[in-house]
This record gives sequence, structure tokens and C-alpha cells, in this order.
Amino acid sequence: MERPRGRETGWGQPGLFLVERSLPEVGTEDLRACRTVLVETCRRLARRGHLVRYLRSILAPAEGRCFCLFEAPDPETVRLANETAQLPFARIYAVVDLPVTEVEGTT
Amino acid sequence: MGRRRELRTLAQLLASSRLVTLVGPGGVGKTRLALRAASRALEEVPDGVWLVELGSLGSPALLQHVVATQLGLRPQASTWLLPTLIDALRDRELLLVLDNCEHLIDACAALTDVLLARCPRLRVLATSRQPLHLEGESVLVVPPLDAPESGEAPNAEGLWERDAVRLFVTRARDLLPDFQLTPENASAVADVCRRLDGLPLALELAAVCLPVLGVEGLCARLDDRFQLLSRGRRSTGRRQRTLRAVFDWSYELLDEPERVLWRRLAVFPGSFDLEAAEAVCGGDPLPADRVMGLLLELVDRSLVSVVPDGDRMRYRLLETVRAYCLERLRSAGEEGEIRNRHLRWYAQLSAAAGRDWLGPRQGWWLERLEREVDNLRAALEHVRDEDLVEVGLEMASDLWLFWYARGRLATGQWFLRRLLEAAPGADRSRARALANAAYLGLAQGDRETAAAEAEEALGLARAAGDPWLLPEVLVIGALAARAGQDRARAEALLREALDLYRAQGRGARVGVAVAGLGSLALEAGDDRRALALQAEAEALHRAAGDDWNLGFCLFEQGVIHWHLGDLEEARRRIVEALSLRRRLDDHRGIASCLDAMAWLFATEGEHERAARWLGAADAAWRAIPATIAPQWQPYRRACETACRRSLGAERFRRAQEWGRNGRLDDLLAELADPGLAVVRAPEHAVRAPALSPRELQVARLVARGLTNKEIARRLGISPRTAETHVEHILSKLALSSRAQIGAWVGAGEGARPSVRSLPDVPHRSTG
Repeated sequence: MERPRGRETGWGQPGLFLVERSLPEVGTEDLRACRTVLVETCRRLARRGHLVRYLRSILAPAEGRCFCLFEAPDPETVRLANETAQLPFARIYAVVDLPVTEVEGTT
Repeated sequence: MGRRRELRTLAQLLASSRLVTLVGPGGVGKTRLALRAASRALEEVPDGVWLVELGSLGSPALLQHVVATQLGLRPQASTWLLPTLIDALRDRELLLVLDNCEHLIDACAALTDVLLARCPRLRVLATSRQPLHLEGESVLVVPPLDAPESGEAPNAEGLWERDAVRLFVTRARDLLPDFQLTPENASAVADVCRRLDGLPLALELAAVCLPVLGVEGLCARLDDRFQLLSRGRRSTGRRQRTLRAVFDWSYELLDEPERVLWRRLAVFPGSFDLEAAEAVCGGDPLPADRVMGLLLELVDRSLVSVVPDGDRMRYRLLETVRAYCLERLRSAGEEGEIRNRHLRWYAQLSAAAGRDWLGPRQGWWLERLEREVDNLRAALEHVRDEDLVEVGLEMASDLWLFWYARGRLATGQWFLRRLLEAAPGADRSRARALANAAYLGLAQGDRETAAAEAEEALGLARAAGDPWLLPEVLVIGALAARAGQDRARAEALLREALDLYRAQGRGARVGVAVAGLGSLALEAGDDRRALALQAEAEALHRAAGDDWNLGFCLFEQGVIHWHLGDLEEARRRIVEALSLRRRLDDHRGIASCLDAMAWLFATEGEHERAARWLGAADAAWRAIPATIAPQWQPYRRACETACRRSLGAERFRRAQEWGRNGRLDDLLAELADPGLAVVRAPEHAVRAPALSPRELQVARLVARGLTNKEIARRLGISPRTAETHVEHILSKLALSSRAQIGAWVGAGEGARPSVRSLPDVPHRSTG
């Protein structure tokens, strides 16, 4: 089973997790505010030994869905991060991220 | 008691820093200090001081929910609360007191950070065991009370200077009125205060033992106790050990039944009533009929506080005490069982409410549950045992009207979803919970997820073959279908529900289904049919005593009559709906009615009035916060256009301003309807201030008889500016003379509001 490729973090074997939530109609400013809370929360938790990092979000505004990618040792930590940031979520998936590499592009 | 220096420092910090954190160990009096400072700050804070107690909150996920509720918000439009909070606070100047942050410190810090960044005039006062570690935070360490030094020559006058001694002696006098600080006992008293490290809570608890032990006996106890302590763990702070020592010894002085009760009370996160105490804590070895006597004993010993609530009595444990009792409960191996009993008790309460929702007691139940909201939350949070998940699901479902009517949509949904996750199997309860989650979701505009949940609920309900449950799920399914523009399906589902309800003879519910069909007919443009259906529903709602649904029904009828040109009938309906909704404190319903009245006035050609009512509606919507439902928006726009055209932009704007800033009661007085005299302005609403702070200043000076020139000189502004302020004041308050301004100020509009949601009054005030 392929280990998820993450960045070199020195955390051992972090996993990648995708958090799915509904995306209400919010303006850019409000979205930024929520992201700030998430980043800050992960930072604080990491300082306490819950090694979680918020990587990015992908939005599907027409569908009203939002997907946030986290690096963490387990889904419980991801749940903790989202609850501490007080952002509601529908599901947490363990995922594998496969960006295209240069090597793959060639025949 | 004392704390003059800390209060002064705190006042200075509050004036210069937007975030002040009071830090200190448990039992040192942070909360009391914060509240005293907050009360004093009221004068300077135009939008008030708001208290949020976090000690009893278990999960950080609910932090924003609790803050929003305490601010009187009843958000219904969004599933993300942060934007709602920011919007509500952005333009306001208020002081938010976050009490007991330590167990939610990360969540509090992250939230405070973003709120302070986005709301420039917001200030926060937090109490915690550690600072929040945010930039710009001012930390004030709350020291224990001033206690005598060891080796200090104990003379009575010198000792009296020490706050700790004063507190101890005052407390002692509550129990022994003749107790005096004398040369004979001075040394012992000094010893006690010193060994208890000046911790107010420890001193209070120790004083309680005086009648039994006397001062010397107290000292001897401390000797024993501290010998034990020195053998204890070194890692815990010394002050914590001291407090613990006093708790231990208080515990030991109790009889066994008292001990059992005291530790069992720890499951109540906040306040509780006697009935709950008996139900939850009574039971082997405590007979339920002894609980009352034992509880009063504990109150006498300052181990339980009394919280007067109108003419009712409620009780609570101080946060630090509760933590101790919880430990004891755990060591006794009783935590699980007592928490389960707590859940069952509140589940029973919720079930009783659930049975009465569509009836004359709905208002009473809404109030009742409001008082118990901490307990409801804790009960649902602590569902752990597998076989209790179903109880939790049913309870969360039973509370549907409470979640909806009291604006806790997001909270209710959170609990339902969390419990659903834990209960893949329980079919009937699951169906019900899914349906209710969908219902709450629809009310928040979250259509997609809600539709999926409603579908699943319907499938499960049909499979479960429960004829009692099925129609309820069908009605919610119809709401989901309607939100998805599938009117045909909505109608089909409602008809199926209607047939079932009729067969079951459930009149109140029949009314709901009929009203649903009426609402669909209105949407389809069939006014006559809609009217007939709503009239039928009205009769059923009245027969059942269901004011909540009657309000919706009357509103729709009002709109229909308006369409049909019968303005008199329309007004009658809307006014009655308004009066019902005020009694139930239905913010959204009230705002809708204000809007509708504006449309009626506009149609009659009374554009000035219409504009004022539009302004009032605006203020009401903003305070929730929410906007009028999409199906009514065209009416509002048409009304605005008509008014603006008739009055001209400037007059329109001013009339709206008047409505926005005026008092709802004054507006309603225009209607001269006795039904509307039942006034109960919701206590927690953040009302838009009538005047700006500067205008308030000017008003007060006008009331003192100063001329514009004198006011200008006093405030350091130009006479022209002062004149403008006075004009604005007259216009905003709809007054016509300076004398009237004087009367307004005199009547107390400039008077001090109080800190919202004061906590319990301690059994004996500590000062």
C-alpha cells in the first residue's frame, strides 16, 4: 500500500485527510476570517503536541461544498482541529494526494 | 471584599487595552472581580457588557454557538457562525466577558483573535488560569487576598488591615454573630489566613467550620492537613494543593449522605433545580426524599450556591468546587451512572415538552427549557454508552421546536448529526433524528444536505412501518421538496401525511399539514384556495392552542387578503400574528410582521408610516440576524420603491432612520391595539442604540439646561456641530423641543443598563 506522499515534515508518517463541509454564501472577507481561525488553531494545537497542519481548501461554490486538506497523524486530530476552530463539517476522509511529477509526464 | 487596587488597575487596563485577561488559580475570585469591573465599565460602553460563562461548556465546537446565544443572536441564515458573529459585532462598541476559558483556551484564543481583528470597537475581558497568548493582550494576575506574613506580630488592628482577615472574620460572623477578632484569637486567625494563602474560596469554606471547631481547632486541622500535604505530589501548584486540602477537609466533615449528594451534584454543568437534584442524585444510598434536607445543609455550609431565578430557587456549584466534586465522583466510581441519570432526567423533560409543542403550553415550555439549556447541552454531549444513543437521539429530536424557536438551529443540528454518526442502526430514532436535522438544515438554507437527510429519513420511516412517525417525516420531506422547487412532490407528500393524521385524529398536526398545502397554493398563485385552506388550518390551530403555527397561518392569511385587496382583514391578521409572536418571543416572526405592516401602509398610501415600519423591520432583522424569506422579498422591494417615489429620497431615508432607531413599543402604540400591549422585549437582544455616544452626551447636557454654545464649549466642538447634534437627536427620537429631550433623559433612557445575564448571587455576598 502506497504511503501518502506529503512534504518532508520530520513528523514521521503524517497522513493526509480531507474534511468536507457545506459552504454557505460567505464573502471573501468572511472566508478569510475562517481560514485564519483554522490556521491559528492548528498552530496552537501543534505546539501542544497535536501535530496537525492545514494545507489548503478547495471550494465548489456552485455546489455549496468546501474541502479542506490537512496533514495529521490520525483523523481524531483533524476532528479536534476542526472542533477547536468551531467550523462545522460533514465528513473526514483519509486521502492520498498524487500531484503529477515530471517523471510521469514522459513516456 | 477589598480588591480596590485590582479594580483600579483593571479599570485602567480596560481603558487602554482591547484584550484583558485575568489570570489566577481556582478559587481566587477572578470571576467576581471581572464582574465588578464589568459593572463599572457599563457607563463607558455604549452597546453594553455581555457575559458568556464557559465553565460548563464541554466541547469547543459549541463555543461560537454559546457566544451567539448570549449576545441574543438567533442566526438562521448560515451554518457558519463566525461570519454571523463578526457581522453582529463589527459596528458595535461592546465589552465581551469570557469567563473560565482555560479548558477551551485554544478555541477562545482563536475566536478572540479574529473577532478583535475584524471588529474594531470590540473589547474582551477574559478570565482563565493561563493567558490566551495573543498579541496586545494585557494580563492581570489576580493575587490571593492580602494575608498576614509569618512572623508578623499579630495585633488585632494590624490584622484588620489585611483583606484576607476581613473576609474570614466577616464570613465567620455570618455564622457566629458574636465572633470577634480579639488579642486572644488574633494569632490563630492570622495563622489560618496565612496557611490558606489568602484564597477567598478556601477562607470561606474554612469559616464555615468555625461553629464546630473554633479557631484553635481550625488551626490544629490545618496542621494535620499540611503535614499530609508535604508528603504529597510536588508537581501541583501550592495554591492548588491548599484549596484541595480545604475541599478534602470540608468533604470529610460531612456525613456520608451529604458527601454522596455533594459529589453527585457535579454532573450539573450549571444551575439546577431541586426536582432535578432529587431525580439525578437520589438513589441508593440516598433516598430521594432526603435530598432536599441535605441540599439545604450543603447550602448552609457554602458548598452549594443559591441562584434566585424570579420566584424560583435554583442551585449551583462554583466551578472550582464542581471540578473537585467531579474528581470525587470519579473515584467513587459513580460518574457513569449519575451522568446517565442526568441524561434520562433531561430526556424525560424534553419528551414532556415534545408532547406539548403544538398546544397552549408551548410558550411555558420554551421558557422552562431556556433555563435548563446548560443541562440539555451537557446531557447530549455526554451520551457515550451505546444503549443510550437512542435516548439521546430521541431527546435531540424532541427539542425541535426549542432549537427552532429559540434560534439554536446550528446547535440542535450539531447534536443531531453527532448522535446520528454514533447510531448507524437505531431505525426509528434515526429516521426521526434525520428528519429533524433536515428540518433545521432547511431553516438555515442548507438545502442539499437537508434534502438527502429527508430522503433517507423517509426511506427509514416507511421501512420501520411506524404510522405515528411517518406523517411527521412526510411533512418535512414536503418542505425539502418545496425548497427544491418540486411542488408536485411536496403536495403529494403533504396529502399522504394529511390522510394519516386525519385517520389518527391528531387535530393539531392536521392543521400543520393543511397549512402546508395552503402555503403551496399561495406560492402557486391560487389565492382563493390558499385562503380556504388557511382558514381551515386556523380553526385547528386555535382549537389546539398552538400559537406558534397559528402565527404562520395568520401571516399567510394576511398576505392573501392583501392580494385580494381587503386591507382591513389583512391588517387584523397581521396584528394578531404580531401579538402572538411577541408573546412567544419569535424574533423572525416579529420581523416578518413588521415588514408586512409596512407593505399594507404603503398600499393605503401612508408612505411615511410605511417607511418607518420598514426601518423597524430592518432593525429587527439585523438583530437576529437574518433576512426576510425569499418569497417575500419582491413585496419588500416594491414597498421600498413606492415609498421612495412618494416621499423623495431624503424624507424616505429619515423616516426609515426613525423606525430603525426608535423603540418598538412606541411604534406599536400607533396601532392602539390592546393585544399588542403585552410587551416583553426580549432580554438578550442587542438593540441598535438610539443615539450615538456623542449624541447621548449632548442630550444629557441639554437636559441640564445648557445652550448650544455652552455645550460646544464644554465638549470642545464648534457651536454649529453642537447644533447639528441637537437636530439629529430631535429627529432620531421624534421630539420637537429641548424640554422633551430633558424629559427623555430624565425618564431614564440615559440610565444604566445592567450586565446581561448576571450569574448567581452567592448565598452570602463576598463583596
